[in-house]
Amino acid sequence: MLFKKLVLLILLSSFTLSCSDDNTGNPKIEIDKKALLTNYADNLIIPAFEDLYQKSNTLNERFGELKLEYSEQQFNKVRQAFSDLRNSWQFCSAYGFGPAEDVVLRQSLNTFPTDTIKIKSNIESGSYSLVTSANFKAKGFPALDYLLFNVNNQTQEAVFTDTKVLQYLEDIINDIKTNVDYVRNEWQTYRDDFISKTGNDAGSSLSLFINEFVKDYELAKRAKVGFPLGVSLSDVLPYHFEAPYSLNSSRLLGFNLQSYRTILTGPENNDLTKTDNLYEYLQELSATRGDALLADVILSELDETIGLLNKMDIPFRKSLELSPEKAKIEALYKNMQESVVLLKTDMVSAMGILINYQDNDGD
Amino acid sequence: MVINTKFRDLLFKEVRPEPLAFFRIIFGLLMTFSTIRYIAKGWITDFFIRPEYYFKYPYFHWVQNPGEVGMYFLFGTLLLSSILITIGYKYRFAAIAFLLSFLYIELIDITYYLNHYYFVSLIGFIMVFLPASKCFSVDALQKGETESIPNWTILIIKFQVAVVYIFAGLAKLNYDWLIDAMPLSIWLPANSHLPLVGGLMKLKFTAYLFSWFGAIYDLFIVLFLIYPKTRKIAYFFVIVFHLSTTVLFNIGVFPYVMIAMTTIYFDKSFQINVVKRLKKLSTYKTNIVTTHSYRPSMKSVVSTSILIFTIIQLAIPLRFLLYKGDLFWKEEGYRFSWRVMLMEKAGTVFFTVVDKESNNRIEIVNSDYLTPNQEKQMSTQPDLILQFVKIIEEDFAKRGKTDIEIYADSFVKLNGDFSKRYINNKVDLTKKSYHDDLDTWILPNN
Repeated sequence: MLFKKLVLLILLSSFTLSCSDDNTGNPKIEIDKKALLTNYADNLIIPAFEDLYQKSNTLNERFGELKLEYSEQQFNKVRQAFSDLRNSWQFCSAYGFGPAEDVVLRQSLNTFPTDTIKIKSNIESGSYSLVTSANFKAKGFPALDYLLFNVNNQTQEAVFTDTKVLQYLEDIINDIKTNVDYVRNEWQTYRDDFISKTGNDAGSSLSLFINEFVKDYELAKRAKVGFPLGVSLSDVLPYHFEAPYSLNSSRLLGFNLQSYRTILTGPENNDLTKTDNLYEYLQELSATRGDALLADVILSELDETIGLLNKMDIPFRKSLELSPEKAKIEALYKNMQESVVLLKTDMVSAMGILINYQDNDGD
Repeated sequence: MVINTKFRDLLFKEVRPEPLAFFRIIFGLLMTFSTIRYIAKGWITDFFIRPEYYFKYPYFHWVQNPGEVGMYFLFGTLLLSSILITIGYKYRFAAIAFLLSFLYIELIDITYYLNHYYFVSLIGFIMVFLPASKCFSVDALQKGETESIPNWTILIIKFQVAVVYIFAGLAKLNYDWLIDAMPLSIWLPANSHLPLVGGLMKLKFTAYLFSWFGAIYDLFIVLFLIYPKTRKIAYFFVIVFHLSTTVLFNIGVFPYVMIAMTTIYFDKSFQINVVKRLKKLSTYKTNIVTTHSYRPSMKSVVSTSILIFTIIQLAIPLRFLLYKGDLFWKEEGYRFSWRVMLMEKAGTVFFTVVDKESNNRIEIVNSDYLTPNQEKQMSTQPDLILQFVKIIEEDFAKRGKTDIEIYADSFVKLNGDFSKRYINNKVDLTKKSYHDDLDTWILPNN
């Protein structure tokens, strides 16, 4: 009897407590993780890899034409196709789980700084295997950035009619295509797997997705800004930026930040009746920071970063030589650091996502 | 003196040996299962071979990782001794081997500290002293069974299980848990994907219901298990409660441990029956040998030891009272206190090394040193932060940089709060220690 009374007491007390709490959120919106994952898979991730795939094909075609017959116009088309491809990558880099993890996509496409000595010796010897991790620093976008942009007008024609150079370029471009094709094709089947793992444990899709997102952001902060700035070695390292030869690093980071922002707000064509993007999900969890919604705080922090980046007048690499410009990069770095805290600590914690496979303390 | 005599009578009253034999078997089975699970998940590699550095336990800094072969040897010993405990073969030896290998594994890295591992260590320790193989075991088959064992051997297990529940319940009597329904308000909505109950998980009401029910359950379940009239329904609640925590949280074998161990409160007729049937099934037959009751001097040793053990068990979870300040924030006296699922705490920390010779500032990439598990635990626990500072210091010393200072930009989020600066970023952490001057480098939680 005593036990039953106790249970009743608990029920009653918790009911009264919950009634006094008005923070119940918008009743129309339902947390629907499956809808969220489906939305991201169909409207953001798969289209991003599809675009990457298209751009990689275009680069392949343009390069084929250049190989057939060199012309300055044709060469510029290759450069353009490469830039388009690398811009497109900025919208894929955060999705490093699933198929992308199979082929360690980020490392094989975009390990920088590129190893120019290795590239030169590879070209010279003509014997190399690009699939080995030893050559990660001699292939991918950073290698193309070096090969396509570190030339002067006088020698340009000579370089890009040299069969050894052409062969190396072809191998890099093919290597990129192989990896990109794999990830794009695998997503056709991985999609169903992705949208079905709706839990919050370490193997669930939301956990993989968020973890990779946070990791990619941290990596962007560290590799694309911090490392060249010298935060880990104290000396500035201008050629450690993502695209030092094409002087495109800040633009690429801009696309990257745009991509992170879209991950938070969700793809544009989301269903208004469901909680199917991270912004609404955080809103639904009524995660707040002070008086503001956490989702808004993160967004405004990201916008601030984008704003700081837009204030950069000259390319990253050149900025390091001018102290007022360098100070701008430092401010940008500090700002990105703040976002890391918001994403890695506040967001992940609010979502109750598990990062590790280890057991937690039980009750 | 009267109490003393009564206490002794209670401890040394002769009781049937089946409940202890039953306990030995389920404990052995559980440990066998959880060891196999641990190995199968590849955790030996992930937790004990892959990491480059390990976070040490206080007073146990000297425990070293024995290397890959050593680790497999330890887990092999653990598995074998668990099986030996189950069948009750060379029991005393097996119990000691179990305890030592389990402790060794636990003490390598504090990153993986869990209350339930501590609980298993304690039960393992107790088991060494218990005559658990005097009934229905291979040992008894060879040496004969006893008709009775002293009562304290059962009571001590009951006491230990009660300590876990009651302290866990007391720990829940705090503002965050009861009034804010934290951290369940964070953890439950994350389970909205569950069939049927998924929709309920996002309701504030559910978080309050679970918080209050959880607190009352922990505080009173032992009472209801002891009282014969409520025992059945109480055990039903044990099963429902722990199984639902299995579904909701990623807590491994712990729910099963509790479901199994609480059978110690059953009326002895249950275990006697089960053991009788098992004996029949396995055509187990052995002769009965008479038990020698303790000599008076032995009785003093045993009762004094039990007294000391119980005092320690009550004192350790209460030691937090010696420290002032926010327990959840500073975690002084937090471990070994049955504080389970009490807080959602997460953090991010960036370390900067200042080389005094060149005045260079070098930012540390934590993942160069630590695994994700280690980094996560380190980010929110002051003593681990200091250990990591030491790791960095030693690494720099190896590279010839001995005159360095280390600063941290650190942010911690606790329960429903937003993240706040955790460590004073103007303080050189190489000169700091844990308990003595904690307040000079950990910022207050406000």
